[in-house]
Amino acid sequence: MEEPTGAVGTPLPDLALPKLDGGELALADLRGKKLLLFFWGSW
Amino acid sequence: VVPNGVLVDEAGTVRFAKYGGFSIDNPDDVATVERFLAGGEPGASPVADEAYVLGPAKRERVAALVERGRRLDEAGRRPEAVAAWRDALRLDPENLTIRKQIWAAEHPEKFHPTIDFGWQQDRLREERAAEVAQGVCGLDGCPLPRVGDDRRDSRPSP
Repeated sequence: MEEPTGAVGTPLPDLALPKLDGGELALADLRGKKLLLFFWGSW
Repeated sequence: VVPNGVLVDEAGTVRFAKYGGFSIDNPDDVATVERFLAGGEPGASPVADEAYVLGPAKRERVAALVERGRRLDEAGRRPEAVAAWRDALRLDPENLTIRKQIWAAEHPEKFHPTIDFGWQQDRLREERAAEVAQGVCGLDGCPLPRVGDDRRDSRPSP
């Protein structure tokens, strides 16, 4: 069975997220670094 | 569900994931991150609650309604946008993101300059009670027929 996206041991999907100061940040550009992705909401 | 914390190694592989309840104020979560940064194993990921997943057809319908609302709101047609979001919420009553979008559109003063979480909790309780009374099912289940309910009384006798 296919692992769900984001499951431990699976590759991170290619995400590009908008930056607060404009433009986008592609997670693929951060390869080679350890990442902590923190998803939250302020409302 | 947020907040989520996901640790990814240098090769782009997810090494730890906590979906729901991740907090920098939680010493265990902080220790997990510190172990990972120090080159150790972050540890076992907590088992996430069973995902609340809509069927594909309903999911597409909800997404289309949310997007329709977003476009209407952008065009300055807020009442129509809220109506579209309400249609989406009826299909996905546990979707707090949609519910909050409606609240923020109708009661911006509860979100700026400060967020009134107490108001949100009261509002959620009231809205869910009303929805359950109307037969709208959610994660908290469907309303049981009341004693004396016509549907109950109309069942054939054994």
